[in-house]
Amino acid sequence: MQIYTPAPTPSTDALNAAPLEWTGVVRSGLAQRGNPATEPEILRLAKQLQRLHPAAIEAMSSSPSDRVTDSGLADDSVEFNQTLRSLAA
Amino acid sequence: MMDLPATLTGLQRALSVGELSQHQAIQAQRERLLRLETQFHCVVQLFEEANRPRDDTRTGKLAGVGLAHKDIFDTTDRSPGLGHDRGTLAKGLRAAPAIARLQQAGTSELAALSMAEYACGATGDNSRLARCLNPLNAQAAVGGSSSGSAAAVASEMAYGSLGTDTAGSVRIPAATCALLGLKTTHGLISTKGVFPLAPSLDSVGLLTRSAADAEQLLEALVDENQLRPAARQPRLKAWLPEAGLHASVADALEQLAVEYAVEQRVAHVTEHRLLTSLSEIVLHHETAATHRAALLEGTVSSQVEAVALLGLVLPQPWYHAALRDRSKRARAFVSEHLQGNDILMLPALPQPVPDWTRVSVGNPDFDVRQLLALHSFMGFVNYLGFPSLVIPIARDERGMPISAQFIARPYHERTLLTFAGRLELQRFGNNGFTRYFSPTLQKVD
Repeated sequence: MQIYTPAPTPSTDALNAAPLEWTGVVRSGLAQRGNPATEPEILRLAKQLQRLHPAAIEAMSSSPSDRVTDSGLADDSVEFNQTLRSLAA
Repeated sequence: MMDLPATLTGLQRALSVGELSQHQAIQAQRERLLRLETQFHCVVQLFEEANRPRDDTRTGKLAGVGLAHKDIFDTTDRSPGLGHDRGTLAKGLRAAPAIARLQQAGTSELAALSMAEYACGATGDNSRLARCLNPLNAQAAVGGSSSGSAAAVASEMAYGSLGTDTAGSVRIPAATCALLGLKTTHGLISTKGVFPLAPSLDSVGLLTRSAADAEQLLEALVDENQLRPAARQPRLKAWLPEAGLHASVADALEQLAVEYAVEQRVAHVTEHRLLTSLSEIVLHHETAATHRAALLEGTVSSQVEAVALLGLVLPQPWYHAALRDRSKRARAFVSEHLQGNDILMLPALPQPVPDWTRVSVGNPDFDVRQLLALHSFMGFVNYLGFPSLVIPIARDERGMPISAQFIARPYHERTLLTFAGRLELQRFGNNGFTRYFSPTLQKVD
């Protein structure tokens, strides 16, 4: 069985950082990759993170418990499928 | 040359009264596909009859019906090419359950169809394959990623096609080619034997030339008790955005709302932006997980990288929070829009079907806004997991389709299809969409 190791989580400060600091989050994420990222690529990804950030903050303000599979994907399928069935009625 | 009926249900009628035999029907469909495939470039591999059950000995409600599917499904002894290559021999591989169920109902699989590489793309753009042409207008884009499915069904090469929809990949191509595109409830049709893009969002969907045809295929794909009965007099609510829609699209939606006496209309679906962002977080993260090894090695194609790379840098807690939240969001969406209403009507594409040059990355006329617009009303439905159907509702000044999208509560596909069938009959007659939008198309053979 694989042991799931979460990727480094940016600090709250980083998550709330000004646009420029998003590039730091991108650089750290891309460090896992073999080939170096270009500056335009880093900037593009940083802008996308900045755009998605408010939704992430809103979602993170909700419930706790993570169920994480070996693949690193969260497993909400059982609960979600139950929800879909309940909404059918 | 045999003149085949325009729709699957028309073919079934012709078979049932003995106008043609099952063997004749399949032979005619194979011949037509062979003639047309060089014209529209949507076939990856033709399936020969060798090593397959004889087509004329099949039994079942769909015997005599030829289908061709997106090249993302496992088929007997063949691993799919996924828009990356032309598939490989895989002795002993079983067909994906979705394909197997259609075969049990009697269908014959004629070909594997082209797609955006690894299903990453809102158009059929794929540098590894010839550009798939839109049968209605060669200058028009073919949406993706199930682009080959749309071109094959719209050109009458096949009576229907299975595709996959993760952020609009069945509905966008349907909207560009004047077809019905149905994204089914998440989990309704097994995705076993289907290459994943983002498993939490992936749904098997189908493309057909009429609502009745889609009903026939859906009946074969699911068990009777999996679906809720159709609402007889469905109540509609309309989401008609105040801004961002091309005038022709806004007018067509408004006319439809008037025609169906829609009482409840909203200009904003307040959570649309939030739901879209959450769907993107899940999409990027899971696509990165699917392609992680190639991403880290730097061997992934630019098209896949465009979707997956962001997933590599997204903070994990964002992804987990987005998934944790979606049951709550799904309940809230039903409560706000589908409580007391059976169907929510909204735009499919906010703009007329664009020319391919406008949405093809790297082309001098490329306009990123037009590319992004293709899925602006799509991804949030995958996040919610609800069924959604796209059909043409009008024709624009170029003669291309303007489509609308209809969302229902989970497992209410029958309500969507019954409603679509009525609308189709009233607006386009009973010969399917293709012959209305392109009456001369059948003459190409």
